[in-house]
Amino acid sequence: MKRVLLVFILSVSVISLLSAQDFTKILKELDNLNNFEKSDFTAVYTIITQKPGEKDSVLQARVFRRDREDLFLILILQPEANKGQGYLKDKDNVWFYDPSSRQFTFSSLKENISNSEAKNSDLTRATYSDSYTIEKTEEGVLGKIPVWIISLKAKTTDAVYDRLKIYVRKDRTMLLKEEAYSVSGRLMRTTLIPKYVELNGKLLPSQIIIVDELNPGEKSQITLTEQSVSPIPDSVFKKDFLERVNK
Amino acid sequence: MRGLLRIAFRNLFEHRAKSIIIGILLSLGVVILVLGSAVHNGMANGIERSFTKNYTADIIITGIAEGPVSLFGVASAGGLAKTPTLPEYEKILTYASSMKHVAAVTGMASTFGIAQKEEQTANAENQEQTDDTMEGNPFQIFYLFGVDTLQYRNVFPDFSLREGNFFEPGMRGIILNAKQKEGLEKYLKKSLAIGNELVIQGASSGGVKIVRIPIIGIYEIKAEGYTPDQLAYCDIDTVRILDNMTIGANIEVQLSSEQKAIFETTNYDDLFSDSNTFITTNSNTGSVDYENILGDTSLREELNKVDTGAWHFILIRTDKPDVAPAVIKELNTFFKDNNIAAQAGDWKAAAGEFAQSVDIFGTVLFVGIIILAFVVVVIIMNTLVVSVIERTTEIGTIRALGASRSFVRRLFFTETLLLSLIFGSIGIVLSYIVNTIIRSLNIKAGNRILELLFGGPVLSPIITGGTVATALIIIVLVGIVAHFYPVSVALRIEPIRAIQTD
Repeated sequence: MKRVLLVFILSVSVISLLSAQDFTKILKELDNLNNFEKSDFTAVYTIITQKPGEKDSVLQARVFRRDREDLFLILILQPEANKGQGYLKDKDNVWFYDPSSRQFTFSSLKENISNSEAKNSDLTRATYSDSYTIEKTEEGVLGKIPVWIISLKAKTTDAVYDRLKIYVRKDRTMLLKEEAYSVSGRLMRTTLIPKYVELNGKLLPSQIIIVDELNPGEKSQITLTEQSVSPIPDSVFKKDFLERVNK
Repeated sequence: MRGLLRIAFRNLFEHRAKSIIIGILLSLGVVILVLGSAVHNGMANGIERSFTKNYTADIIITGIAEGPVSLFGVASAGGLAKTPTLPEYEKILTYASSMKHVAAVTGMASTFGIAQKEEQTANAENQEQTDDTMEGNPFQIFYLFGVDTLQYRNVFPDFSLREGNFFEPGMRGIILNAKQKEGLEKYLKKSLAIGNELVIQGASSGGVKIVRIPIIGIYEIKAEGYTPDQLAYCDIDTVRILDNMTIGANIEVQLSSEQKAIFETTNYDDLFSDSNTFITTNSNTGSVDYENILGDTSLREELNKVDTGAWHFILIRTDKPDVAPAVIKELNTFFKDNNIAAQAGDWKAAAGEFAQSVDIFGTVLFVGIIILAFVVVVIIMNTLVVSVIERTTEIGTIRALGASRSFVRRLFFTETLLLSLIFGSIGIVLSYIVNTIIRSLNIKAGNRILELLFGGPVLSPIITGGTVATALIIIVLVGIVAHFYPVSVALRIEPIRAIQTD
């Protein structure tokens, strides 16, 4: 009887350990979905924002990324009045170009922000696996899709949100929903990703909905189209590209 | 009554040492109350004068927003919201100009801007710097007032330049103050002079805009401590560009039915009702037309033209400051009757958070005065109580000689009233003397905190009729309250026992 009990306890421990490892792996897989170290990436992002008492706003931009060289270019396509404005990031250097004044501004990510200890680099999005620990996992259903519901707690106070609850599709690692909570446990923001696109075997969000839970009625929807991982010409990641396309 | 007064005077004289001590305390109480209020009045008056003469005028007219609208933006729960463009500007301007007591009017718009480094300067600095730190500079940020070049100085005749010239019609440029210029020189790591250009970036709901404008003048700061050193004056079109007051700003976004449906969704879990529909395959080969990626940009130029009729505010100078509330009332009635989404407010509304901060300072000063006055009042009451208790034997004797309780009460009431009125009046005279001395000494503030406390660079307390009357009433009330209780206690004791009290 004792042997049976020992085997049972050992089995439960091993299963628990495996489960814990699985969830850590899930977090890493989620982090990897946004990783383009091996190829270039481009897509058109359309962000529509609705705020009570204000006109709806649309921002459309084409984004070019070459993560392995830390190069990043955003070219604004909409609103029409801002068409052609662009941001170029080359490692720590960021240029902004305004075609109306034909003027570049420059800033360095090395600069402190507003005389504080914070640096621009501190504002980059934290990854699940690095910034959070798993507090609780449970099974659930989102709409009609079976999901893992993983509760995360920030490892440090540097994280934007103290607690996250993420809903990850069970049969394929896809983030479907994220609820962000404050230290007091108040729901601050809900993010939903109802549409994905599969590109060369990699899953990428193609529609994201963000609901501001603190300001009722404030919502944004982000749509990604024309995604591509084909090589981007080197000339795109140069300042004169921004000037050239505006001529 | 005359007999009572005579006995009261005689008693005060009999106990003259005690009367003088209590009287001195009463006079001191009045001096503290009157001078404390006078400093507070001087501060409030100085702040109002500084704001109205230099920045806000007497009345501001703005559009309607969710939060209070001031010259420095719209305060809202989520930070600063966009300042609304004033509707029917010309109609309001014409009406306001024709109003009685309106001496001058001007249009204005405001926004924020951030000074940008030229790329060469920034790169050189990067090479020089080996560590990651760089001192932040508050002068990098501007509060930009876009002014009507023809009317602004009619409303603000005291506006003066240390260097350079004011805007000519159609001229682009920026007018800084000397502190700002110095701060910018440190930030940009180069010296600045009239004619040099600044690159300024603005960020509004319409996106980021950059302008390059010349410095055309250096203005004199008139009310240091009240408004930010970062305040700079611009031509109106520069502010319109930075704040997206352009033709394109009024274009409405048309959402597709799918986009509308998503915003109208209440149960977002319904988006995940079918596991097969939400993954699509992309076979895009990356055929981007890089050189013609923007397509036709001609509409952009049209949309970025400034809306020459767009203003955020109208500022009004009245011929007398005290008529402002009546003019504001009349303007708000006009807006209501004509269904115009605008509002008129006083200088405090125009100054926004800056008026609130000085209000807080005023409240702190006021509370300080109240605490001081309270301490003085407690001391006076205590002395009065002791002085009445000491006269218990006398009260018993008067009662034994046949005086009624009410007579004794009236006698002590009259004594206290006389004491309070005589020494309270002396206190008022002393307050005026001390006030005159303080004003003639021309005590300078020397630093910003004292400047706020003084309501200007020099301490200028103001004694008003209201202040004097309030102080006198307080002192009389203190006297009456202070004598009432011990007299009542003394009257409760049998006369024979009261006589025996030592």
